[in-house]
Amino acid sequence: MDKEQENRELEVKEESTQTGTEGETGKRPSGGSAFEGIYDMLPDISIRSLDRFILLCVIALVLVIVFGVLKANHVFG
Amino acid sequence: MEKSLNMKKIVSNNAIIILIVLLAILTGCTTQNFFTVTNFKNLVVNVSPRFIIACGVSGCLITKGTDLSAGRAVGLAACLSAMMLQSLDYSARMLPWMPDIPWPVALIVVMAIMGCFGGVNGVVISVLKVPPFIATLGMQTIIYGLCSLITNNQPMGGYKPSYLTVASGSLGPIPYLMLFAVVIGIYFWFLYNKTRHGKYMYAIGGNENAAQVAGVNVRGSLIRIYILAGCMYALAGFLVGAKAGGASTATGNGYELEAIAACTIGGVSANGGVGKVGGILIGVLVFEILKICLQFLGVDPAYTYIAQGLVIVIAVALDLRKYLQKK
Repeated sequence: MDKEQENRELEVKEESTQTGTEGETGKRPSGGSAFEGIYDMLPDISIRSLDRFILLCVIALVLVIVFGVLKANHVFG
Repeated sequence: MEKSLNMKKIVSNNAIIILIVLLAILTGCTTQNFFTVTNFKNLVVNVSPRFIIACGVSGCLITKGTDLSAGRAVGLAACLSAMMLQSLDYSARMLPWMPDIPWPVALIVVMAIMGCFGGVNGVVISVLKVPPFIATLGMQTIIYGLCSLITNNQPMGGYKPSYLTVASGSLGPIPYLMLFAVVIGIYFWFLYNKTRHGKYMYAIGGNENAAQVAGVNVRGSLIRIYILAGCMYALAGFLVGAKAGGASTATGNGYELEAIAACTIGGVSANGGVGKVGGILIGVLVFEILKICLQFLGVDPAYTYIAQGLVIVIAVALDLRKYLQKK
């Protein structure tokens, strides 16, 4: 029984020392960044919805270029 | 089925590049003089200094940092070069007492000065632990203020012919500017892939804490990265000044965003730890080809800005997609 108690105490001690070292290494050694974990901070996004967004942006890009070219050629007067 | 999946992957990974190539083909077919040697040289001359700036910024991005002072640093470097390399017989010399200096000496002096600014950025970020976004934003304003102060907000010109030749001259068909870019490209490729510094840089970008625990000198590496970035802005500023034949406080304005965007398009992840020199070159080329194509098509510059913005958004979204796929 005493041995069991000793073992438990040892385990508790080991855990506390482990969390201590984690806490030390967990500190940022240098300055954070605007980009630090930027993607982790985003809410859950599915790849499918991101694909839709990319497609939308590509369509917008094409439209902007087409509109710009048409305007440069005085299609809109 | 597998082939179609592969095709889909290739298309989604290179969507912007495919779009720009299509745009270049369309521009070439509908306008005159697009696929000419002169236009190619023009592209090379425009890309070279931007590629050098992007190489400088890439180190900061790979280590999860950024450098918003790049554009203003380019401007200050161009102004310092101008002050040292004005013709002796030019009536409106900024520094009349300045002796005749060969351009390589001026370049070394400018690189040393800008390297010091980079070093300050590195120390502030790695030792004082200030977030790179804030540290370099402050440095951007400080450099702009210094530039205004030393030039009295006067544009400078009247350069020595030897300085102007750096931008206008060529070795056979190859412009000197391209040679500078090629040398820098090879140097960065070697630095990123074959040296301990490169490995440390990727390790810091991947996981800074793990890198430090593994024995990487994070502080030293970050300071070196920012010093190198400062030297690259100096070289780019020197070349931009020679190319333009003049410099002012407005020189280099907004170049930092172009460089960051080009890096993102070229696959330098905004999440750090990823990026190749080849990708950076592709990113700069994509941006510049887009601009030239729209110029040839006679598109209003306002539309060009909108298109550039959309390209940046697509690049970041594609980068995020890769991250989510890995996750």
